[in-house]
Amino acid sequence: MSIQLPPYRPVQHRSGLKVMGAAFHALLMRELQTRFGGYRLGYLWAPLEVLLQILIFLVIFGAIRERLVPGMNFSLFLVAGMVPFRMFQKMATRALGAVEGNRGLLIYRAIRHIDVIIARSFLELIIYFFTFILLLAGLSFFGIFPSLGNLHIVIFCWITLFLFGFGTALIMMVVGHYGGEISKVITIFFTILYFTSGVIFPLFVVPEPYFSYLLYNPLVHNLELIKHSLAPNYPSYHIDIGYFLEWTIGINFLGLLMYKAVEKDLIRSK
Amino acid sequence: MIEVKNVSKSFMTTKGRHYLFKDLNLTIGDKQSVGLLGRNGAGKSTLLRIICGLDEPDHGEVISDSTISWPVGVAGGFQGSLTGRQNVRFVCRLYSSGPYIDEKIRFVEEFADIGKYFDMPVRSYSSGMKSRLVFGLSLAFDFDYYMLDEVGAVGDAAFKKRSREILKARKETSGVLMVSHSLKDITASCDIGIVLMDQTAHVFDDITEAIKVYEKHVHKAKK
Repeated sequence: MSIQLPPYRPVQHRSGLKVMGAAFHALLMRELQTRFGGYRLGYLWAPLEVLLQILIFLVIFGAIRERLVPGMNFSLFLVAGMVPFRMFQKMATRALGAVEGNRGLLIYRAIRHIDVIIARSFLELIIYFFTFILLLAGLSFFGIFPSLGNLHIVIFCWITLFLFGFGTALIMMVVGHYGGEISKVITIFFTILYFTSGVIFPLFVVPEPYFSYLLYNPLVHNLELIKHSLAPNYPSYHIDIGYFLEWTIGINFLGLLMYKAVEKDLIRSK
Repeated sequence: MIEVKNVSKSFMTTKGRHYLFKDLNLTIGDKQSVGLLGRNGAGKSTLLRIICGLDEPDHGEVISDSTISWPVGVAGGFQGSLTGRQNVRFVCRLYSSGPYIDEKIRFVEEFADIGKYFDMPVRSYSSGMKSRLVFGLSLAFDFDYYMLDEVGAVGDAAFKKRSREILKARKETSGVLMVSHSLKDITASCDIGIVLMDQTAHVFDDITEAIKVYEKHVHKAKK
C-alpha cells in the first residue's frame, strides 16, 4: 500500500448530547478562526463599532448629557445600554439568513440548524461581553467609574439577555426562511426597538402615559437593571425583571416549538 | 444495517407532482457493497441523500444503527478563508476526538498530497486540489457505510491508485453504497445491485444480473 491508513477506530456511537457538544465545539472554533484569524484588527471590530456610535451620540447630545440621565454619567449610560442591545440585535438578525447560508454545513449529520444558532449566539455573547468590559475599563481610565458592588446582577442580566436573544434567533431563523420579504421589515423593527428601549436616551424624558407603554417592552427591564447595577443612584422603581424572565421563557418556548415543527422540512428538498 | 421502510419521495413540478418512488422498501446488510443503478432522474442520488440524512422523504423512514458517511467527495461548509488544515480539523472535531484528530489530519495531508497548500486558504486551491482534499477527508474516518455518489475520476495516476487502494481497504471493514453510471466501476466494486425503476427498487444478489436488468430496462425505454 502506498500510504498508511490510520488505525481502525470506528466512528463512535454517541448520545445526542455528546454529538451536539462536539458540533458546538467544532462550530465555535470555526467561527472564531473565521472572524478573528485573518486581519489583526479583527478582535477590535466589535468594540470599535460601538465606540464610534457612542462618540457620535456624545457629540450630538453633548450639552444636555448630565441633565437628561438621573444619577448616572451619560457615557456610562450609553455603554450600558448600547452594548447589550447590539448583542441582542446581532444575534437575532444574523439568524434570519441562517438556513440558506449554512446549507453546506448540513451534509454532516452531526450538525443541525440549531447547533449553528447556538454556536453563533454564544460567540456574539463572548464578543460583546468582552467589548462591554473593555469599554467600562476605558471609561474608568477617563475617571468614570461604574459601581462594582452588583456585578453579579450585571452578569445575570447578560446571561438572561443571551437566553432571550437565543429564543428570538430561533424564531428569526424560521421566519427568515419562510417569510421571504419579512426580513426587511424585521430590520426596521429593530431600529424602532433601538429607539424605544431606552438605549439612546433615558425613558424618563417620556411623559406618562407613554412611559408606561414603553415599559411593556421586556428589553427595557433587562437593560435598565444593568444600568441600575452599575450606578445605584439610577432609579429602579420601574424595573420588573420578573416580566423580562417570563418573556424569556415564553420566547424560548415559542422558538423551540417553531424550530421543532419545521426541523425536517428545512432539509427536505422540494 | 440500513433499513429503508416505505419511503416515498415526490417533487412538485410545473406539470404536477412527480413521484420518484412510492413505498420503497430496502435492507442493506452489514459490510455489503451495493451498486445503485437506474436511469437519469430515477432517484438514485435522492435515495442516497435520504439514506445519508441529507433529505427527508414524504413518508417513511430510514432506520439504522450504523454510522453513515456524508457523500464522499462532496465538500460542505468549507470556509474559503481558512486553511485546508483548519477545515479538515473542523470536520475531524465532528467525528473524532482528542489525540485521534491529529492522526486523521496527518492521513488527509498525506493522501491529498497538495504540499504546502495544505496550510494555505482553501480559496487559493485549484478545483483538483480541493477535490483531492475532500476525497481524502471523506475516507479518513471509519464509518460503517460509505456513500459514493458519482465519484468520478479525480487527480493524477498516483492519486487514482491511492484512491482505489484506500477504497478497497475500507471495504474490508465497511459497507459501500455506490451510485455510478460507469458499469465498469460498479462491476468491479460492488457485489449487490439495486435497480431503481418503475418507482421502486429491485434488489439483485448478483451484480451482473442487476446490470442485465438495468440495460434491458434502458433499451426498452429507448423504444
